[in-house]
Amino acid sequence: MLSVLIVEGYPDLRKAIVATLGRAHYRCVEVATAEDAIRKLQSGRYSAIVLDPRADVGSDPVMLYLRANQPEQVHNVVILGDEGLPKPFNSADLVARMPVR
Amino acid sequence: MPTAGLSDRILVAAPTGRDAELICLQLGGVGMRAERVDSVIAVANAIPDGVGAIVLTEEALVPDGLSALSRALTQQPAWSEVPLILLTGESSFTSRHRTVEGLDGRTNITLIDRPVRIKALVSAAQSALRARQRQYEIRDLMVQLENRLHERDKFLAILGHELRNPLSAILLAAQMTDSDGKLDNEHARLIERQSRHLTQLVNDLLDLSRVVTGKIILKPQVIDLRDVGAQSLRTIEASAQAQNVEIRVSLSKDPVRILADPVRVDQILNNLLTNAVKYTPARGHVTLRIETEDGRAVIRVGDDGVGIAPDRLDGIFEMFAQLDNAIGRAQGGMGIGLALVRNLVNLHGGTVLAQSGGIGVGSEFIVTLPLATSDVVAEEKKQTRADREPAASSRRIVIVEDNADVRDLLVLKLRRLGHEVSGVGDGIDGLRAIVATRPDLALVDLGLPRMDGFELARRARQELGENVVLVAVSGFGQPDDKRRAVEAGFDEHITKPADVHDIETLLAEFPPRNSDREALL
Repeated sequence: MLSVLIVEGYPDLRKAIVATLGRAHYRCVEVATAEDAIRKLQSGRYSAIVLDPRADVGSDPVMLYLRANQPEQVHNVVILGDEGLPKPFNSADLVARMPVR
Repeated sequence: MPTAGLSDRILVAAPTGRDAELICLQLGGVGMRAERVDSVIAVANAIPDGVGAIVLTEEALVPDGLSALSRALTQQPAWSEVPLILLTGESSFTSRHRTVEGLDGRTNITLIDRPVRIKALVSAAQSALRARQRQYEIRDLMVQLENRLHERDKFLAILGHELRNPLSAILLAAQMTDSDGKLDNEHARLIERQSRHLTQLVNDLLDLSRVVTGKIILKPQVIDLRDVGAQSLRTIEASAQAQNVEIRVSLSKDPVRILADPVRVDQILNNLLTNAVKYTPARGHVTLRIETEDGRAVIRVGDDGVGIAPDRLDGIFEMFAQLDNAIGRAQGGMGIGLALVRNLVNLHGGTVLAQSGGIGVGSEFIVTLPLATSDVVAEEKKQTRADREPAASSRRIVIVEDNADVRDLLVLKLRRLGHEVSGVGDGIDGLRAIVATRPDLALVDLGLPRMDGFELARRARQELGENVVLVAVSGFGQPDDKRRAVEAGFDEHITKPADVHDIETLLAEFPPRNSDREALL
């Protein structure tokens, strides 16, 4: 089972993303802040990272960390928002952006 | 942008003899700031730095100078029309006509024939500066409007953005149906929760816009603030328990009577208490204190939650103030509640402020409201048995009066007679209320703060035409008041104190004019 790191500060949206990807057979690890995201990235590997770029999460620190330490991971990031997958989005569009085994 | 301080100077260009010197001396003698300039070209160059008016003698208008001046005047911003006083020479009517034509349409010219009488020159300069002052006021108003427009654009952008998270959550949860099209409990609850949250947001937004545009008509009555407090506590109890936050209450032993709209006071308290609970972690405390202090009713809502950084305290009542606050956003806060609180408190003639020792040490919100005066309480008691339903002859009335006691009492008395009455305390709010509610009759004190009654009447007439009866009230006893009031657009003038009987008489005198009112609302 591929694992995905969900970085989203809005609790109910995070919950819904976890449920959506869980149903599509991804194992989800969820965090609410950039700080926690970096901690998770330091200790584990993920096939994809779903990242909310908003102020409370802050995508910059996460992207900086990845570029410096795991550059091969950068293209596995799905940004939620106008630069990536605009909110609100359909579950099918989110799942379509996930890597396949 | 003109340089500050230069905007009221009068530039004087008069190349012949001692003309310029004498003109400067005369204008300076009556306190005006006159500056001698060598040529009309120099005048033209100085215009962008700011100028109140220009005085030229006709000899100064050499062809090069005339075209330079004409160019400079053409380049003025839309609000600007620099007043020009031209002291005409011995030239023929035709040549003078040509000179004026050369500048025509670009500025406001006053011609004074020589020999010049000092009085005529001074009076022309004074009226030129007054006209210029008016232009500056228009400029400032335009800047204000532009800023407001910019704020509104920013507001809409943020609002659009803030709606995305709840909508995303709802959309994803709604797509979690099973093969039979059924949705599990957890996701149904999520959808309900986020829908309620969006509903609350929309309600707050609409209320806020009603307050800002003066469309909320308060229905004040004498209430004991402790009763409203108890009611608000009942509403908040469940969510406080769910979050394991303890609420401590301290209510004054004596009644805290205020003249206020109970629905709106409940809204104020609810918003403050909801916020306090929201920003307090489990096992924290929220306190509510209601008491009388220094002749005011005081509500304190405190908590030992996340607190507010000192540099954020001032702006906390602005819309979307908590935008970059992680907890507020995570909880789905939009930062509209406090803006609404401040507006509702102001509408009641009260104040609200936030205090906090900083991040992590909790915060306290303090609302003060004027206590009901004994006159008002007595009047309200008489009313308790009276029928509050509007009478058949019910009319819509706005009272614009800065003395809160006079205003409140009049509002109460008129309401008792079955009229639909709202009271506001200054000229700007008064104009707003009159334009928004289109009353049958507006009673306007002439000496109002922020915008006087005369100006209010002029603007109200511009907006509403004849569809409102405007009555001026003044206590000055100036014979001039009546004439000025009529000139400004008032229908009637009465002397203070305005009594209910005066108003009833006026209402009888002026039958309803705005029969199309309902269609306009």
